[in-house]
Amino acid sequence: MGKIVITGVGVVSAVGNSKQCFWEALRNGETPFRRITRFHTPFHPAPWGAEIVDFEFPIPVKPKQPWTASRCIQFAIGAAQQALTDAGLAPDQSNGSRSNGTEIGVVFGSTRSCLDLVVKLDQDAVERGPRTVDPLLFPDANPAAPSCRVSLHLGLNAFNTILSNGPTAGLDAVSYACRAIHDGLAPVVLAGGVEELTAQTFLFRDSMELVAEPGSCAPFRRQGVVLGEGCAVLVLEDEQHARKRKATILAEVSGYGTCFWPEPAGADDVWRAPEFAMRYAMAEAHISAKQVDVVFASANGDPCGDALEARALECVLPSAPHPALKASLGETHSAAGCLHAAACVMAIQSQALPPDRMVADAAAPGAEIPRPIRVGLVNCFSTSSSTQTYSSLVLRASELIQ
Amino acid sequence: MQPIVITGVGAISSVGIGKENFWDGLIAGRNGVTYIESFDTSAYRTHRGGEVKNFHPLPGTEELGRCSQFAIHAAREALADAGLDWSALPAFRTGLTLGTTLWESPMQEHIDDIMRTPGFAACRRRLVPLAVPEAIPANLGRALRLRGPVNLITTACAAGNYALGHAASLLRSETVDLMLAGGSDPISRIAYTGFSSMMAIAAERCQPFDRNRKGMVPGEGCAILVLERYDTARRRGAPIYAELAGCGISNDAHHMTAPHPEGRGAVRAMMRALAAASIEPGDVDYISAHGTGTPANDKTETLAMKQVFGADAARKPLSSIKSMLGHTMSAASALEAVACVLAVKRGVVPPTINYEEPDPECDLDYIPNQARELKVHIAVSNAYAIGGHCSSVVLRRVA
Repeated sequence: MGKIVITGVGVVSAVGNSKQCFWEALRNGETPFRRITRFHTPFHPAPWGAEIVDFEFPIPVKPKQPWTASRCIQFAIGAAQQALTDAGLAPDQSNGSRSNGTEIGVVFGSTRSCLDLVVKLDQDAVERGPRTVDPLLFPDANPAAPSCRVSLHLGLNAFNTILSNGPTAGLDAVSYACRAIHDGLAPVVLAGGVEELTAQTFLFRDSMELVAEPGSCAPFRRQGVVLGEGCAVLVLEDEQHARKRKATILAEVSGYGTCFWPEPAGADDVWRAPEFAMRYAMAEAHISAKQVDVVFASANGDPCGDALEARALECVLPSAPHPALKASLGETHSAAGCLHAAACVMAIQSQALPPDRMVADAAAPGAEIPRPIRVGLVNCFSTSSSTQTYSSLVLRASELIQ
Repeated sequence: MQPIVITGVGAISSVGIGKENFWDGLIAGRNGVTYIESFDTSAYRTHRGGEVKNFHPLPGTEELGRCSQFAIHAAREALADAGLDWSALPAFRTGLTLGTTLWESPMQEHIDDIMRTPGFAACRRRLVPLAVPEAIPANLGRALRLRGPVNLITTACAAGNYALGHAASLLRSETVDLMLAGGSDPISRIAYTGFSSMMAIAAERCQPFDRNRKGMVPGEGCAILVLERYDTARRRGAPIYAELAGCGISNDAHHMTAPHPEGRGAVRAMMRALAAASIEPGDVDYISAHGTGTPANDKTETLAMKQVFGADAARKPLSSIKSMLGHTMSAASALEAVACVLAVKRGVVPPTINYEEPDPECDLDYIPNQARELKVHIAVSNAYAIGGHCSSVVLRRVA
């Protein structure tokens, strides 16, 4: 079976809207949290959030096209454009073509995206009558909308799929993309994860879980979640296809493991679930624990989930550093998997790591790393009361590809 | 490569709950479209839908949303049909890929209704976690104690076919031995508002391919199919309905709601599915059409059929069971896949009801009004959706 490689990365995040800005901010351990004032959250008056404020929308907002005002759709299109350009697959503008001739598929992890539009549609129908509802609202009132708009806007017609699995959806989308390439659906697939902060996002969270002040978000060490938003898109490609077109190979996707756990996160032995996901991904990648140079942890400051992951890490990968990026990005739900995978690609490319917050005396930003980063593991675990799913992904440096 | 086979089915529809009732309804040409009772339609232009009446959720699922209740009910039926004990599945080797369009939308409406009332604070923590999309596959996973991959695909009204394709891909990769796949969608105020706002709903009935067709009719339902590799199915002596021989997906990337005028995505999806199954178009015996009853879909789908089947198109019987069920959103393609495997097994194909006047632009054999005896070796089932999603699956008789 052919290998799947990553040839492009695009990021729209609270810490930066290009892969370079994103990575630099993560390396510096920035925590750009702010009071959310854009919408009203009845149960958490003005909570802290990792909100995107300086993203320049690639498309003009038009009143007769309500989707152009949807932040998650804009994030998705922005990140997808960046990723295609990064991979050298941007459409050839000179002849006015929307595509550059390559068959490209799209798969997104997206669960809460556009939920606010669903609520608006429903409330409009109830308050003003169904006949007043804007006909242009419904097609985008769906978690699928960002992904569909990416295909439509960029003319990517091989296929388009959306996984709404919750917090693991981003990594699950990467795995779906790999399977799609193996199955011959397309030689290139954009795999992304997207989510935006809305009043709905906060409805789900209990105020006790949310942090009181920005500095207090310290996954693994302290209780307290910051909610976030963003989008990352990876260009996944059949290795032969990438080599043929002389693309720069950033990393290889070499293993994936996932499981569902029927028992709630607080039950006995649930740490076996993240253990299973990590071991499965490593087995699929044919790597041993000793070879894993870094783990991008899922921990977000929820004590139950953090404890499970810490226990599983202690058992499977006791010596690898495990930076918890949600200290900077917030809990971005379906976007987290691809944001973390993008960080992993950057770590492999730049041979550097963000500070490891689990260790109290974490290495200062820019400190020398103990060994080269060739293999990274990305974790995405959901321990909420809605779902308990556990996914892990192994990325590996391209020079290891034979 | 091992063929992927379907060994069990479960169905919930407005023409019947359970596989046999569903099939009897289809073959009798029963109209499942009635006046909607689950919410007040007085403010809408139309009042009818393919609503499932007299559905009783299984014990232990009463608190869950209707989408999950449907899915758990149909999954239990499908597993029993496959000769499997749902409480003793190989947990780590069993996965689930479910499609949905509007997830637990009736529960979302309830939240919308009470969000501004003082009582909401008390029930928020119980209600909200159950109303979010990811709760649906998790509810199913908990009910069946699964530990394999659990996915929710939200490619709108084509999600059932996408779920089947993904399940087959996971089985081929041998990371799982057993997959449950299908689609589930309850009818809801949100769904009705949405389709109504797009002026897509026909007031009385769904008349796919008829000259006087006035649109789609929203419906609800669920179907779950049990998929296995041929060798594992044979080893345990499972009954085999049919082989899921190929799945093709594509995207129009043309317009958010309108199909590509020449059916570009639809043609590609069908061609890909046939190629994946190594089948020539001429070998297809029956097509389960997407056939929503909207002017645009039925015309485009007919055009796509002509491109795929060429001069043969007029001789290829196709029908739309949406004429009976209404458009059950993501459940539609799952229910249509069940109809196809039963047609393959039983040598009868369901009709397109409410068909009265031929349309010069839709001039194929739509199996009007009466079920037909037909030896089906190979059936193709199409599903398209808002967002430009196009999909086809090929189901083949297993000797």
